[in-house]
Amino acid sequence: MRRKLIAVFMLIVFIMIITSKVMPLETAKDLKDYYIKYFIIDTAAFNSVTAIYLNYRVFDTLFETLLLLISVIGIIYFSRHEGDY
Amino acid sequence: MKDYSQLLQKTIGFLYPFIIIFGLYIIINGHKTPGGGFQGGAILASGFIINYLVTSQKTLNLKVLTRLEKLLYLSIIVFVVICVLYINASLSVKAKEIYLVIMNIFIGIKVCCGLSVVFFRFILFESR
Repeated sequence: MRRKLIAVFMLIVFIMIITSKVMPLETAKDLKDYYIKYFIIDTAAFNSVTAIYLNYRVFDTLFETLLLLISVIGIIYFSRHEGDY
Repeated sequence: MKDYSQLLQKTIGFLYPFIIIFGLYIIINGHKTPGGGFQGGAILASGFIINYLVTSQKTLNLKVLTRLEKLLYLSIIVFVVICVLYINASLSVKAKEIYLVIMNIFIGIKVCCGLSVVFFRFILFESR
């Protein structure tokens, strides 16, 4: 039951990500200058690396955290010992 | 480590609160100074490792850490999708700062839990 709830939840999140507004690809040129000029105004971050990994390229952060979770899952799955002392 | 050296316990135990404060400082000030969630989370995980070296009883509840990590991952997804993809234009400057701080805290705790689970699985189970 809990797995079905989690699957439905992930499906809803996936649909929400797909149906969000995106800019057309032609307007995204000279991104390096855009990031340097506007990162304090768009995001309230004084650290440009934080502005990029938490606002402009936040999908990378999502998949990075997923990768950490998957590595923990893999270690627990492939060990030959159960989880008790 | 059958017999615990008092020297190691005393000196590392003295450093223990400083490391935790340093890790929390790097996590919370991630939007102004270099650092952020991932780096501060690794520093906090070293606090768990120090805790293993210092105390003589070696029990740690790994189920709580894995459950906390899964819960944090789900809340990170929801928070990001709502705050960045949908209502990013209508947030004030203060709200954007609060978003950055909360995201850094979530990521920091998640990385800390993940790394300490990896460390303890290898130490407690694979070394037999």
